[in-house]
Amino acid sequence: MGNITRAVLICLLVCGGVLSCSELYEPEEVLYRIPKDKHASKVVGGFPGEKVRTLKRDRLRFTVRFDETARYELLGNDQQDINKLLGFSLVNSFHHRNSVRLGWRYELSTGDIDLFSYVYLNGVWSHEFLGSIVIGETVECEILMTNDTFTFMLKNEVMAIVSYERGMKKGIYYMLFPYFGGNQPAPHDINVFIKTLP
Amino acid sequence: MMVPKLQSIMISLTFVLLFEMAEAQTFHRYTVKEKDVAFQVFNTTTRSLYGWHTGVSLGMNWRDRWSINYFSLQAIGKSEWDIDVFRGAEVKYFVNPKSRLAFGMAMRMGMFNKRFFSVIPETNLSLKLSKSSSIITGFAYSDGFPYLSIQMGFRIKYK
Repeated sequence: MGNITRAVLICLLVCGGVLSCSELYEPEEVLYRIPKDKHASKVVGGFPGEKVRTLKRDRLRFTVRFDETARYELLGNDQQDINKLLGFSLVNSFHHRNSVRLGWRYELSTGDIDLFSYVYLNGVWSHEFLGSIVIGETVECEILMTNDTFTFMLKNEVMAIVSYERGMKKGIYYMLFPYFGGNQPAPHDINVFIKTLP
Repeated sequence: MMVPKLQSIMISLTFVLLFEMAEAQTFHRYTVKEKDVAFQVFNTTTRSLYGWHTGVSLGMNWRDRWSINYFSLQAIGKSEWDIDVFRGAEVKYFVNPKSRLAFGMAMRMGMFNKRFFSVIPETNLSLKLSKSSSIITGFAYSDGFPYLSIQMGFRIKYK
C-alpha cells in the first residue's frame, strides 16, 4: 500500500470517527426569526436551503419556545389570525391543498400564546384550539400520522384528532416552517425557538 | 397482435445477447478491449441524524465516470428516530475517474420507511485500492446535520 493511500485512509478514518460522534447529532434548539414586515422565517445561523426538507417518518416531534418578541398587537380582526409554526404538506400536494401544521397566536387578553391545529384537507381549512403556553416556557408538541387520522399532542397529551380519508401514500411530504400571518406581516422581529426530537 | 411489453423487452435482450455472442466469436479483433460498462457491488454504511444505517448497493458503472445503483439500507439496531429502512437509487458522477483519488457528486433518491420520498445530494471522494476495488466516502447535509456515507466494494468488468 502506497504512502498516499495510507495517508488518505488514515484521514478518512479520523474524519469519519470525529464526524460520527453521537454528540454531533444531538438536536439543538434552532432559532427561527421572522423579520419585521415579512411573513416567512429565517434560520438564524443556518445554511442556505436549510428549510428545504422532507418528512421522513410518520411523526413530527419538537419542542417550541417563544420569547418576549412573540407579543404583538395588530389592528382589526388580524389579531385573531393564526400564524404557522411547524408541519408538513401531505403526499405530493401543495400545502394550501393538503397540509398539517401547528398554529399559534398571541392572545392579548391573557398574555399567553395559544396553540392550534392548522389543517388543509382537499383545500378546506380547519383549526382547533389545542392549549395555551406561557412565554418563555418550552413545551413538547407532536403530530402523529396514522392511516386515517392526525393526532395533535401537547405536553404528551392528546389534544385533537383529525380524520383523514386519503390514506397514507408514498411520496413527498415537504416540511413547513414558521410563518407569520394571516394578512399582515410581522410588526417587528419575532423569534421562535424549535428543537426537533426523535 | 400486440406483443406485451415485458415480452418485447425479453426479445430485445435475447437479440442483444445473441449479437454479443456472435461478436465474441469473430476473429477480426486483435486487441482485447475492456468494456466500458461494469457491474458493481458495494457495502454502504451511513451516519446521519437518524442514526447508523447499513446495507448493500449494486448497479452499473460506465467508464468509471457514471454509475447508477440500487441501494437498500437498514438501521443498525433499534432506530431512535423510527427510521428503519431507506431504499432507492443513487446516481454518481466522477469528475476525474482515471485518477486514484477521484472527486465526484451523487444524488441519492429513495423512500424512508417505504413511504417518505427524499433526495440527498452528496459529494464523493473515491479511492481506488486496486483495479477493481475502491472505497467511496460521501458527505452531504441533510435536515440540518451532516450525512456521511462510506462505501467499500468492487466492480467487475468483463473483457
